[in-house]
Parts: sequence; C-alpha cells; structure tokens
Amino acid sequence: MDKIFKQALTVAIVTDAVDFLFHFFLTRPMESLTYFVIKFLLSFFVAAALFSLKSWQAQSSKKLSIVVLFGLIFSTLMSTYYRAWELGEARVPFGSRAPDIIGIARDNLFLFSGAWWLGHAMFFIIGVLVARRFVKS
Amino acid sequence: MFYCFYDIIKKLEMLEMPGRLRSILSLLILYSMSKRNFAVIFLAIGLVVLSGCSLQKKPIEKINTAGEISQPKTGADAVKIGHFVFEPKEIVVNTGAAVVWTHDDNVAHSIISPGLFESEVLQRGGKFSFKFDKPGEYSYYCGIHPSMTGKIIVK
Repeated sequence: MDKIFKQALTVAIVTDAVDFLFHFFLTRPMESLTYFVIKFLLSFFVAAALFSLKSWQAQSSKKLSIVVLFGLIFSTLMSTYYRAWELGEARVPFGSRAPDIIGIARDNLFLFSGAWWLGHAMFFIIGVLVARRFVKS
Repeated sequence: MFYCFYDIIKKLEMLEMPGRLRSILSLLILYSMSKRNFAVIFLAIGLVVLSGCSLQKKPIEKINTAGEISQPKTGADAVKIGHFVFEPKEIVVNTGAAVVWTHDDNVAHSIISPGLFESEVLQRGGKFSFKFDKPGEYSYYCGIHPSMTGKIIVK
C-alpha cells in the first residue's frame, strides 16, 4: 500500500477510536454509527490531503503548525457536518444534535462549542502523531 | 510569553482542577512555550478544556440513564423526555391506550417508531401522543439522537 494511504488510514482509525472513547466516557447520549463513519471518512481525506502537501513532505520546520492547522480545519468540517445535518437534513433547531459533555453546561455556548471544536481537532492531531510515529513506509 | 503563561494558569485555577494535574499541565505548557512547540501547546490547552471542565463541580442530579431501568412500568401511559432519556424506558399499557410523551429537556427531540409513527420536533413543554390499537412490542427512538431508545409493550 502507498505510504500516504497507510498514514491516512491510521489517522482515521485512531481519530475514530479516541473519539469513541471520548463519547463513551464523557458525553451523553452516544453518537450514531453514521456519525463515526462520517468522521472516519472525513479524517481519512483530510489526513491524505495533509500528507500530500509538498511543504509536509519537504521536512519543513513548520510541520507541527501545519498539523495544528489541519486539525482545526478537520474540526471545522465536522462542525459543518453537524450543522448541515441539523438544518439541511433533519430540519431541527441549530445545535440540538450535539450530545451533552459531562461537566460542561450546555448553555455556556462559548465553552461548550469550544470544547467540541478543540476536542475534534485534538483527536485528529493525536491520529497524525500516531501515524507519523508508527507508519514509516 | 510569561504573561500568557500566567493567564493560562489562572484559567486552570478557575476550572477547579486537581493540583497535581494542574501542575503537570502547567509545566507542559511552559516547556512547550520555551520550545515553541505549538502542537503540544495546543494539545495541552485542549486537555485543559476537556479534562478540566469535566472536573467542574456540579450538583448531582438523580436521573435514570439509559439501560438502568430493567422493570417496565405497568399501567402508566405517560413518558417523560428529559436529560437525553425516555423515562420510563419501557412501559406496559392496555390495548387502545394512548401514550403521551412530554418533553422536559433543554434540547429538541423527536420520537420515531419506524412504520408506526413519527412526531414533530418537540421543544420543552411539547407533547406527542399515539394510540396503540394492537397488542405487541413497539420500539421507538429519538430522531435527533438515535441512541435514545424506548419501548411500549401493549397487552
């Protein structure tokens, strides 16, 4: 298999696994299978785009900043999926899809949405770091 | 840089994190800043938000979570929707009875039993009812949060 494919696949698996654990222990209710499939595909393609970047392959000193940037892009795309599902497909009120995070008040919009945004980005970054560490060729 | 670090430490204190965890994260952030390792700074701050906030003290509410209720309630014909749970999760009603779902949550929900009924999106105070004319077991779920499930047993 191509290295980029293997790395992207690793990122997708790790991102999904960490997110599953997060949902299992810290959110209520559990997310749907569709959600995890969407997340898997999205993280795979965003990771593939990241690993295909010329500046990434050129042993750039800015690699870590690029990872963070792509993590935030991934997180923004996940939020876009949530909002598109709410408003476009299910036609339910804005923000009603997201599960509760244990310990974070839902009405604290800044903290609640910030936690989701940072969380999704962090899971993706963990995936990239694992892929970089374990997928060599 | 040190003002920024001080600001982050103050935020950690506001989140009421345990001292040891706060110290470890503080050292991690300080070390990362000195090395200009932005990915680690980001990860550390993310951990602060996620783990720190989950440690915030909240009053404990006694609620029934999914899976806790093992015995179906008999004779009841009302289901409350609150805290992402249908309560009771299972009820037994007589044939011809109408079950009423009452929404009492901060988040919108809907009720779907495939091939049988589908409610509108309910907000707090909203109600939906359905009359069960045939005996059987009818499973239903929330259309917005599919892992919220319940069952009506009609005798």
